[in-house]
Amino acid sequence: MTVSYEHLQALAPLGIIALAPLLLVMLDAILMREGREARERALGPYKGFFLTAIAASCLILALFAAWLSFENATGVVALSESMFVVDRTASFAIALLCVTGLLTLCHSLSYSPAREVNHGEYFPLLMLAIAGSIALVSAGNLISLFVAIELMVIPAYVLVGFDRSRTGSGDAGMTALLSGSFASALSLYGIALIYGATGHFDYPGIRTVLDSGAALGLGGAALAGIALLLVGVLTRQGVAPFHQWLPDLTQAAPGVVALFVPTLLVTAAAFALIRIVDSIAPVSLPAFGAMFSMLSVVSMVVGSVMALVQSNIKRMLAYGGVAHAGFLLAAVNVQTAEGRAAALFHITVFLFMQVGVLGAISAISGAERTRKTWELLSDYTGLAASRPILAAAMTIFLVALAGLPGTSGFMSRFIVMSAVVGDGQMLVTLAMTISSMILFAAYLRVPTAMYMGHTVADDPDALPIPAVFALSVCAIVTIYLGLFPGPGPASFETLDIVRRAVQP
Amino acid sequence: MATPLASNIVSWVVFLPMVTALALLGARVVATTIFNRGSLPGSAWRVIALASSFVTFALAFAGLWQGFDPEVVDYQLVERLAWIPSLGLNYFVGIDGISLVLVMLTTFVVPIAIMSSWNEVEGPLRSYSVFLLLLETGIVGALVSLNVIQLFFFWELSLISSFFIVGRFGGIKGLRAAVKYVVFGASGFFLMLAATLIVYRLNLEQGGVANFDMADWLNAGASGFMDTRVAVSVAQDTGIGWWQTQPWLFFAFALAFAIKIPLIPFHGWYSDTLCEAPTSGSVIVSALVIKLGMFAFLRIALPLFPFAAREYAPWLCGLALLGIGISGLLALAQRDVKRLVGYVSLAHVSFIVLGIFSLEHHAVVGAVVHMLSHGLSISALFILIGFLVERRSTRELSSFGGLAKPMPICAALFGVVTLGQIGLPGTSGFVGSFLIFLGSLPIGGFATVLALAGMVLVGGGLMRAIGKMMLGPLDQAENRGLIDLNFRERVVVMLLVVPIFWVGLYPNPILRRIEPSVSLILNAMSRAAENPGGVEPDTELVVRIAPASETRP
Repeated sequence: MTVSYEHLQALAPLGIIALAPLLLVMLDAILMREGREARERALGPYKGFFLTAIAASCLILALFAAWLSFENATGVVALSESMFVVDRTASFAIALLCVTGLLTLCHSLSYSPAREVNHGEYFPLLMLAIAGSIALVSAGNLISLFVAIELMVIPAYVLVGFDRSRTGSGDAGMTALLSGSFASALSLYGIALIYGATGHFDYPGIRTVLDSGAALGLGGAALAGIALLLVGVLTRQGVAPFHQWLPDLTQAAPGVVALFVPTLLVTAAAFALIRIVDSIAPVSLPAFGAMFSMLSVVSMVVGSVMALVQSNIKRMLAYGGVAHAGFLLAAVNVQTAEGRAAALFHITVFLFMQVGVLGAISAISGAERTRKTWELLSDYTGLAASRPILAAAMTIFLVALAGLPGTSGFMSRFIVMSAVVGDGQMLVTLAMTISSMILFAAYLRVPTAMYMGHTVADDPDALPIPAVFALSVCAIVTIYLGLFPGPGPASFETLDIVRRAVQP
Repeated sequence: MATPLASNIVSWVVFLPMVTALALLGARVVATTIFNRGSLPGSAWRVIALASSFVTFALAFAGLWQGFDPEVVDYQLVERLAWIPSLGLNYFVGIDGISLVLVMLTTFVVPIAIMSSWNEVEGPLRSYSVFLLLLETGIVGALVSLNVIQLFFFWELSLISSFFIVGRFGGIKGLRAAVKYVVFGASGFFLMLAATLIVYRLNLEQGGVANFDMADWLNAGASGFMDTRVAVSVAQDTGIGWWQTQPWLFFAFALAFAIKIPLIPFHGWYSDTLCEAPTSGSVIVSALVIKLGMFAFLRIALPLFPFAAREYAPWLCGLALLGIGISGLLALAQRDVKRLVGYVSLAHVSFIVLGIFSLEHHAVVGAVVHMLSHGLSISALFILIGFLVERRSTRELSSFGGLAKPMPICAALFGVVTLGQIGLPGTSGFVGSFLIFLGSLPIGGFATVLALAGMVLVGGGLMRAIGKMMLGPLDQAENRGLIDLNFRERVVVMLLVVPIFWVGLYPNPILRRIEPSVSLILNAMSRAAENPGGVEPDTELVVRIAPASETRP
């Protein structure tokens, strides 16, 4: 196999992000040579800033490389038997994952010192998880898929237990690791079954055998294998009934990790799911289509109803995420270009809303830790009086998640529902409508508390600049995509990009 | 019509309040963060909001009322801009006779509502002013929208901003009422969205172009949203599912609108909200926001589903009659004067629905006039009660009595407004009621008699309240020292009383503008009824996108 320029360009984001941890570990070791820092394992402000800058530069480089291969790619770039397949969708996904990392770094720059968790290991772990997610979205082979999932989730679970002073944080990391291993074992069993039935690990090979009917005798085994594999992927995506880790982890993780880990896992798994559905095409079998419909309905109902009854804000947001995973699954189940574009648009929009609102929680819990934990809904009573701008930003994210017109959340709801209706899936449409109603009531509880609860107004410290920057980016994207998602008066046209991303 | 103001007059009327609100907010953010000093005091914000809403009314009067040609039977003063063409979304506004009347009502009532709560609303005046202005943009925008999704944007803007007004500035239980209100409203909204998307998909299959515009204004070949042919029932071999037929789609829209109006089984949010809101909140919700539901029946549900509308009109009329009867009885039984007026309002709202679903020219015209009249007189009633509650800090009917002695002007105005609400000849209430009664006769004298009886009941409830509060012995010490309405309060109420009589004595300018639009809707409906084949799906055009599970082996 000859390695061409296209191959290098396609691999560049993964290469940069995978090498970054090595660089960061070395720099950490050099910076940590002496003194109090070495004993306490905490970085001083300048060294933390330095490592953040290095990590951010790597992410920006990778983002740039992903953009280049999105714009220039003549088509699909496949490496060594589809081990890595970088098409437009994958480049788009890589860009989104890098943006997630950048937003997280903005928040952790002020959060980690404030919470005294400014450890050097944070940065390599973060980059490793992102590298795993990049490998996951470009995997075109069951082996690379499995390795990528493990590469993504293990550093992520370590990050969850990162703040050792935080009650339950370590437990949650351990629980997530165990339940994640269970899902991994299922997918591994599924991979074995698929390989046994078809004799292939690569998606095109599996597809060929399935289509030719050569696996007829073992067709049942292949189907069972695909189902088990999907369980592994759907678990990471947070689809009910495989969702339980998501609220537990989000609630227990420290602020920045709570915004980073679930979002990264959910986003990457969603793209992997789309790849699997398109390449091995289990939806071509009616049973899989029906299964996807059912899972999406269950997710929407469970997510929205559970979100309504939570008193912990992070847990509520995680359950809302489960419902949104159901919306996404409904869009994935529409096997047209329109359905794909709707799914990609939904992933993009949801990422900025969820990172925005969890980022706001992380920013405020980093800035003020004396009086409240900022975990309970009741902690936010009267926030509009003491921090009007932060309250306004949180309101934007929450009403967007609730699907209010004028925000990106409505646009994604609108586009996904339109695709689902066009596909004639009435049950899913109905579930989406009802779950939107319930979610509206659930999400609106926070703005209601912030604006209508009465509390003494105090004069709090200003929020740190990087966090404000990250919040502004998310808020601007949320409003902008709500008003001008497509060909409009600006050059950056998301719908257009999304449509191009799903072109073959 | 060369100046930008004149050619974009509808947009000016819609967006002036919102732009004022955003400018106030922006000025505050700049002042506090960059110059590190406080912005204008809240009272100044309220003065600016009042001025802005007055200018909006002046623009609406000079531009829309004067610019509207009653002879032309179509949308007028239309503006259209491409917004997201690939999704069929455009910025598309224009007015017909019905929306003209309601826009005038809205722009007229908002400044009055601001003036009426001058002393009552305390605390954060800034956000109060901002939300009122946003609410005005929301309501006016929804009335003039000719693109369905754009209409939803404004619809939700009005819902959310009235939620904040009711919840943040209402009484003790205001928050609970507000949450009930917004959750009901949002549920209706999502239902409406789903039904709209189903119609949109049918339209896409029939016309081939994504389009949410109500009409193909540019004659670009795109089939307008209102031109969608929706099947009457599930026909064989056309691939039309049950959810794509008129009865079910009409049901979804009607449910959403019935929650907004509210019709009788969905009125749970209404009386609580009106009771707990500040005066201006009650005025705006009862006089303006709920009008959107009735307006949407006329604008969307009737033209789009003529068959289902005809078939289920008796049911809706029945619900309306039930609403009149029940709320009349409840009005008689109330001890809380604000709640009493809430039930009176509910009865009149049901009466308007009866007019609409008589599906007869006079009745529908009467319904539109009654929307206007109800908006004026219910505002006046809530404002007068607000003045009394401000003075006495209680809403109990029994704590008032003999107020005519200390407050003669208030009592006189109360009496006049009540008679206007009941429908005394010479007031606006009479014109609407008369037309609705006249128009509902053909559908069965039974309904008319029932409605008449119900309205008498409602009138009785109001008269009982007047009798208790204004007449009778002045036996409570607190009531003896009450001060009569001051100059501002008199002006506020008089501003509403004048149009009540104007519409009552000389309704012609309004009728002349409403009638062509109503005829247009009803003619389209009867054409569809005469030619059932016309609304059956054309089998050649129907290309149903089959679920993936059916296309692949």
